[in-house]
Amino acid sequence: MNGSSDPLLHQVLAAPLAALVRAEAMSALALLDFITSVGMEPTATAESAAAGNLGALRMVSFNYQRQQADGTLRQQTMQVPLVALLQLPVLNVKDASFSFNVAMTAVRASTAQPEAVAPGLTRPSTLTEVDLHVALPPTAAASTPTSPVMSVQLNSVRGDFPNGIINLLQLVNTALVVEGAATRPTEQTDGK
Amino acid sequence: MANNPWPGGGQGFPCPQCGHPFRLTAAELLAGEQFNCTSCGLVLTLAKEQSRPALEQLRAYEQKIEQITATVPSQSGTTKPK
Repeated sequence: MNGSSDPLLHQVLAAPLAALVRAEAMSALALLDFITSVGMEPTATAESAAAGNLGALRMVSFNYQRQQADGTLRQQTMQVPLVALLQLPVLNVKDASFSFNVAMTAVRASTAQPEAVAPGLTRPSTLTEVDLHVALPPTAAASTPTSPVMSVQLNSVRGDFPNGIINLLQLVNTALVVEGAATRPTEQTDGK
Repeated sequence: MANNPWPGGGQGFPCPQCGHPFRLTAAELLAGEQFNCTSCGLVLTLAKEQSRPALEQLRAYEQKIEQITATVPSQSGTTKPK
């Protein structure tokens, strides 16, 4: 059986690792999508959204009274970005393990051709490369006889914010707005 | 590494009077109207009309979470340690 058309071992090993990297990137994008869809108003136009512009922050307003130095109470309004009140689903992969069997279907050893590294100068062909072609055989645990099985265990934990998200939230933090409103004397001041 | 100003999942904001972290969850915000700072006692009153768009979004978000939670099998249905 000629297995040289089967994938190389390093390709098979890299596939789940590359999938893990892609999964983490997709998770970060999902977090960003969550923040923008829940915490921000839609952009005014489709063109603006296509240009990557973000809508205005959705704000929650609170009123409170603050005592001034002269004893009067000042009604103030504080606006807090909605996203500051949400528990953000930040997940990181803590560890992952992949377990699967491979069957070696072809072994090819090749010596690299002398390589020209400069005009008139070649690198000698001392490096021998071994290509391992492999197939993933079906296992006894497979639901169908022709399906290979890869066992995947993934542990994820609530993680730290990626730096980019921290920068975004720091922008949110600076978006806290306090506005002064009407003033009136305190009760103590009224009585005097 | 950047300093994370949002420990504990990002919920909260600094109290406008004393700067102490004002912890307030989405569920608390939807259920209540007045909230006290645990450090200085400042009372924040939710301006419901002014906050209506954000509160509606928040309510929709909470309802989605409840729906998802309802579809997830409870821990009691999984294998119990002997």
